[in-house]
Amino acid sequence: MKATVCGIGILAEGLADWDSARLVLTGQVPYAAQAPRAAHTGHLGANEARRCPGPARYAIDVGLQALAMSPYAPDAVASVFSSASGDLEIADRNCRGLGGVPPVLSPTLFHNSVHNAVAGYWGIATGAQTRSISLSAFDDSFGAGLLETLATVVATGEPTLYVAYDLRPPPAFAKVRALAASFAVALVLAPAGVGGCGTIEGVWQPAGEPETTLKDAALDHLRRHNPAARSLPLLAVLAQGGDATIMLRCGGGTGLRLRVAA
Amino acid sequence: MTERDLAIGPYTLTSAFGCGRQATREGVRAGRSGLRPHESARVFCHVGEVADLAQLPWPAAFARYDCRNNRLALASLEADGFSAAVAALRARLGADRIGCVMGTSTSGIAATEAAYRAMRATGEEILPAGFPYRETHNVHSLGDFVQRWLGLKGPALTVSTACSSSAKVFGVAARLILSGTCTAVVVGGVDSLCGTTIHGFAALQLLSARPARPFSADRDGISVGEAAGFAIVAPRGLVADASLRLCGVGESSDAHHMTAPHPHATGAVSAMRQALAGANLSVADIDYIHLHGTGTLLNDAAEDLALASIGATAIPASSLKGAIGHTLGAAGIAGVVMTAEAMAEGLVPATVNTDAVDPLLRCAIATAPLRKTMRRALINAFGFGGSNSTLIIESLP
Repeated sequence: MKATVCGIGILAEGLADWDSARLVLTGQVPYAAQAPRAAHTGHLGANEARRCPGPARYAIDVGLQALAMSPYAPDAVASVFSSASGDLEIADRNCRGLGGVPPVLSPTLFHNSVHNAVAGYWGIATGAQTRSISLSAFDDSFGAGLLETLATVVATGEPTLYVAYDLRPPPAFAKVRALAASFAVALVLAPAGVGGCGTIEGVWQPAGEPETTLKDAALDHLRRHNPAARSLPLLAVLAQGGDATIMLRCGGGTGLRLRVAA
Repeated sequence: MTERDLAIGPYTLTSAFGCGRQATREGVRAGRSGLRPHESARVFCHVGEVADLAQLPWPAAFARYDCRNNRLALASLEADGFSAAVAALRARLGADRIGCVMGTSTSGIAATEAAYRAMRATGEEILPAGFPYRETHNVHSLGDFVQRWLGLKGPALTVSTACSSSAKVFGVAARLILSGTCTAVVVGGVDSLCGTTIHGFAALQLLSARPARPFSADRDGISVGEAAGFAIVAPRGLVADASLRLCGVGESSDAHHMTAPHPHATGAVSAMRQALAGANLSVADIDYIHLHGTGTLLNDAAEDLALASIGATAIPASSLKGAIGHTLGAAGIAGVVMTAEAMAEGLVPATVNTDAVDPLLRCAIATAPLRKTMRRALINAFGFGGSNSTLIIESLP
């Protein structure tokens, strides 16, 4: 499954956007895990911006970055959103409310608790009425979402925006779901032949080869401790240029072998 | 190959109608409601509950996956010989050629709700280290459990787009097969009763105190139900007892509001048009419409407007949300299985509980079962976040 990469966006601790991430991924600037800047919510109206939860803010920010680099408007691309754990901040608040006497649940927190709330806010912020899917494959979510994105581009010929995100969970989840950092990444993939900043060719593989790691210890720590940061080896090749083969996990212990050229 | 070359089946469904195809067929034929009164901390409503899940013997090897959602999944997988059919296909194709794509809205969040109640009782602030978050609450708990139970080794993922989840799984399956990644895909959808949905819909004032009455003049909200359904999707000719053809899949977004449908229903119209175009069919080729038909004032009006916009108001249509409840992430697969059983029975199902159709709505709502030979059906599934999906299926001779 071949596709062109024609847009990239990123927002994470120490990686404020694609331009600054490139400096880190090419070794020109050492990685420092600073608190991330505030996410931009694009054209969301005042009410929606107030209700918009953290993961949707991250997703809108990186999605708009990636589209700005690409030749496409938001309503010209299909979208795929992946997140291993969705919004645990909201699950925490809802379960706390439901555990009260009497149980209470805010209507806004309820509708924001669906896994595709991020896709919903993306649509409201951008007006995109196109096909959109939201999925999880736990820690393999980045690879599984990339597989669905590549399959969409190849099977439908539609350029597709792919956004992967996971935010640091609230303290109540510390012993059962520890993520070291918040991380969101976006890629715009288009059919092979369209101009862009690189190409990827993905082949799904049964279980076997280990995942590609990063030489930089701090970056590899980030990669291992946030499922969306599993994108870093792919981003490193796109930043550095050249050719490389990368292995990702993509659900059920299976793999996605990527040949990347930039 | 296109999506028109894909077949569906065998399939199964467990809902408030009961466990398996026979119970589903009898429920559809009888036009009965499986909804029962329910009270939860001053919220009075009706629910479509699946009986005896707590008594289901649970396999020791899957102890960490034990939650209501996975119990419902297991009860359904073992009905109608479904898991045996998957095992036979696995033996023929190889486990790594079969993908596993599930849909759910709330997965096993009831387990975390219970853990928080226990924490409150003891004054703890942090979930205990042994709490199986990954295997219960996490969205992919479902896809992970089903893949392991069926012994599949292809790609596995869980779609979660609220109430369109298990309609969208057919689109993902088609793309995985058409891209050459999988030879066949087991699709499914499971959602189970939990505090989040009952109190959440109550907070949004979208929960009826009475059984849901889709498309009626006095409709005032949904009844929440639970269900689990599964099907094999594969190229035609590969699975001998596949009884349906997947003709078209439509997917779109409203880009309007988190809970309210688009006032001009443009997203729903786009999903239906896309499904018809993919199927290479026109509205006149459709014999039956399985409505999303949740029973809220706005949802039914928007779906009616969408069907009027594509000129589909003369086609017999019904919603079974008054029969088994709104099964949320399982609504798509429940719609496929109930429609398939209705087509096999030659009966347009009744919109259970709806006696008088809202005179402002234009669709041809069946309020009583109607004998009709049906070959092709259109199935709608719409969800929060403005997520729309339409499937068109055809019964194979």
